[in-house]
Amino acid sequence: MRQLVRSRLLHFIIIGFVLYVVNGHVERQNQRVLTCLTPSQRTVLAADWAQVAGRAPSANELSQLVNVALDEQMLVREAMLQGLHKSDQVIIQRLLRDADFLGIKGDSQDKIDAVLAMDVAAGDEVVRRRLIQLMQHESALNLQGLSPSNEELDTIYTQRPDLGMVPLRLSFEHVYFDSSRSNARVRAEQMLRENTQDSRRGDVFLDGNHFSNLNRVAITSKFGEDFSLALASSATPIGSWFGPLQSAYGFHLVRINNRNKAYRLPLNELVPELEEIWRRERQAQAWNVYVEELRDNYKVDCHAKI
Amino acid sequence: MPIFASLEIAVFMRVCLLLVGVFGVVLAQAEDSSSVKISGSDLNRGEVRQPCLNRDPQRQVFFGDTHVHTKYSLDAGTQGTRTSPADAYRFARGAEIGVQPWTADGKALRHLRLDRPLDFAVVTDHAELFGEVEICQVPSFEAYSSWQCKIYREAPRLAFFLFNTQSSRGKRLGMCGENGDLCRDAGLRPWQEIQQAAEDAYDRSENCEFTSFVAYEWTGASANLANLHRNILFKNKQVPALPLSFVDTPSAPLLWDALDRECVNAGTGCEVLVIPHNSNLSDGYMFSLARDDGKPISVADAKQRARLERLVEVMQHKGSSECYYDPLNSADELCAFEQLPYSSFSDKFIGKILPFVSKAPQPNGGFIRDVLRDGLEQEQRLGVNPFKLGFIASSDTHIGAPGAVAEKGFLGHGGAGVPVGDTVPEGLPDDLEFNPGGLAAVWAEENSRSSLFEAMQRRETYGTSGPRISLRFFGGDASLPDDICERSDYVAQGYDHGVAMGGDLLLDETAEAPVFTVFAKMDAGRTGTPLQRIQIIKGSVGKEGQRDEVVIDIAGDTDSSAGVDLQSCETQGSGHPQLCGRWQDPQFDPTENAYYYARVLENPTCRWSQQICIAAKIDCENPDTIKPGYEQCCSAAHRPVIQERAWSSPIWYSPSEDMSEEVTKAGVKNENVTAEAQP
Repeated sequence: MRQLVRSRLLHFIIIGFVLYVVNGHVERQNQRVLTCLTPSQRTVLAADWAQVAGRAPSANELSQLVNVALDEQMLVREAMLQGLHKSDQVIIQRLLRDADFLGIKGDSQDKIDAVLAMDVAAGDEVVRRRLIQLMQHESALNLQGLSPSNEELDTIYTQRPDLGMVPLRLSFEHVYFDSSRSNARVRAEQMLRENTQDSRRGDVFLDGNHFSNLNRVAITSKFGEDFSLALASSATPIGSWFGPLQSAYGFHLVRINNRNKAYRLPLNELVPELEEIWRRERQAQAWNVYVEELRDNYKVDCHAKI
Repeated sequence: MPIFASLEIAVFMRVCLLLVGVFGVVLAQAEDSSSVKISGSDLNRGEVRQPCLNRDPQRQVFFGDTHVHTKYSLDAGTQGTRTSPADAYRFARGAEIGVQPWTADGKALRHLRLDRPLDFAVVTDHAELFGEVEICQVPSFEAYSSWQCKIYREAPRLAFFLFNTQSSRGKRLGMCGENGDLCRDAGLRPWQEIQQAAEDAYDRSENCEFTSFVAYEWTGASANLANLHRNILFKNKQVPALPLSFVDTPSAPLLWDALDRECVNAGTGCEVLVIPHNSNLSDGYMFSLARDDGKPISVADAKQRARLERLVEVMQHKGSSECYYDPLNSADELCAFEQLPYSSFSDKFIGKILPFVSKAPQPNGGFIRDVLRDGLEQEQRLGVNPFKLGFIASSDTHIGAPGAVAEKGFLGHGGAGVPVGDTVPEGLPDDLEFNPGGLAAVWAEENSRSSLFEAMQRRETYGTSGPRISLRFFGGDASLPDDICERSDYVAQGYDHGVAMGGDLLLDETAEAPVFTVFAKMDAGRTGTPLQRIQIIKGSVGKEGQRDEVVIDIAGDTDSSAGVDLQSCETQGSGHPQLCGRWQDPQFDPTENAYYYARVLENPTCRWSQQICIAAKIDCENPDTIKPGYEQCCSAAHRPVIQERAWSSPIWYSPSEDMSEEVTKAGVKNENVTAEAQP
């Protein structure tokens, strides 16, 4: 054993290994360099933005655009240092298409090598997007298995009062009086007075005379807003005829047969949705932290101060 | 990050991925076994869901959008769309989404919310989940100055088609494994997210408020780059492991065969519908009468086609495909509605560079009226009609905004646009010839996947150009009561004595001419624009092959004084909240094959472009007011007025006695309303 420890061969192996690791690390660190944007690249960024936004970006907005472009450059470089472009089939197929488009001949490996040598990968929008997508996916996977505490779920439930709102729903029937015919309102009032409500004695309404479990939006869509509002705010007891209510089509005698008031689902019935919101927030946080840390690992910092 | 750490993390991630995959499979199997258990229930039509409280055996109309692109469609993603499939479904249910342009820190400069939710929506991202050419934008790139790239910079779409057809025409690219499996596997993740988003959005509760379907778009083009695009819509969550893309199945017949193999006959319970769209851009190739080998289609081909392709988009963002309009020769002036000024996408972009080379729409360019007549001819030849197409409309939104089809406040579906707010708009938010698109309307018992899908299969559907017009259409014999429009049991009479839209007239030998009835109700929910008139369009092919077409007004005012003030967009004149008509065909010839469909028109209103031009205070008489970006407000091509409308699926008549038997054999007989619906 002692001999082994003293063996020069072992020393060489250990030193060689250390040098290999250090060299690899240094090489990688040396590749972790960002290229600051040239003035003309900044002009292109500003022009692209102006094209969709309809105005030139402010100084602050331009700084943000520059930072986003630098982050993208950094993430793509990092992904390629990790070799993600060599194992992802979407990227490989994309590079093959690029090669074909350029008329590069040879087998698949030749084509890939050729386009990689031309630095097509980092310049191809599709490859760039895919690389960043892969990194985001891996970042999200880190959170698998974590779950929110009850307090965290409770906070989201309180902060998002729109979640789990179940709207008012009404089941009702009506007798319709077409206002393009004479005396629609008078005929309706008379029927109500005589208490002879029967949809067959009214005019024909294409959508029918009975409606089940409709919310306000659905009622508005079928009858218009005025009718929908009047119906929803009516305090007439269930089972009693009332009206006439006016709609976009004419007048209606109405009887509500069932009224399910609006309410909010309790927290325990919303757990999957709340967990999903929590997960999305955590993923966004984790990604931002990762990008921040990565910036520290890159040598030239040309991020603008905002 | 130290080298070892990053390596270890990478390995760890892959192990996690594998575990997640295995876990997913286990979960899926567990779910499958539970679905087997419950699938015996008649109430739920084989679905794992609660029965719907709102169920009407005489059927109710549900409005939706079956053509929606999100960030997974690269042509949407490269335009800045960030809406995910889940966001698109939330939008359809009434939530707000952010719309490009985005600030650098990720805030949307525009927002959008529907004025009322949809009943159903279908995300149909391109199956070719990657594919647009970006390399031409990098000046250092060798190919930058190539002719393809020059075209690309001038006309990105054209290069997109050039590039994609070239690469997909060839063999499957190497390194994808023996059968290309490896490459297809890479597409799994977006496909799974699309399925998951559809599952999450589907309301399986008793309220039945929203339905989603798993779907994708097959983005095919013919050899001359004409549009062959088709949406592939699955009935339930039993779907192929991967979408069959144009790369996998580079022709429509190959697509149908693959769908039969991997869905219909796979024994998994998978059911599928194929919905072609934009035959107006197909240069006549979408409904080709030839097989891939150039021979005429056979009986088996026609049957397969009729079984899978049961609906067509009659209208969407990229124009109407209903009928060809020639200003000098067309009797039906209403065919001019949203007709594109070119016959294919190549012509659109060539037109921008070399206007005189661009091909205008052609009479034989694939407009649906003619395709339906081609179908009648094929039926005479083969005994089967391969083009028995019901109608829907949709948006084809590329900003992930299903149902955003209002003319007012149109943000553009292509992504390019201008922000709202205090910044000055710089022009129209979409190409002048495009429009907000339309909606699919489906007559179904309830808002569930099985009920909607079955309605689409029997073609009891119609399309609208945006408004939620209600439209019933029945065809039968003289037993349809004379006073049917006055009867409160109109619908029951219609089903009792006739067939609904999408069906076949089954006249007995002694019957006289067929009778049709159409009932329409205006959309009260939005602007409440009244209806102007109802028309029936009849197309026929005689024994000797003579083709005929008539358009008949059956209700409303043919000489309506209704109009719109172009300066204020205010509407004038009266119209009808509801319209109903009954009509017997006076020129009926029992030896001819024929189809009949209904078209309902609203009173005229301002088109989206006119609304924006007015808001920008453009006065074409005064050149000083025509700001940059608004030049097209005053171009000859600008159509300031539209008549919104709805198109019913046709009802077919066939003289052949054994036709009904033929149809039944193919499993596609249009059912009358089920027994429970009979009054």
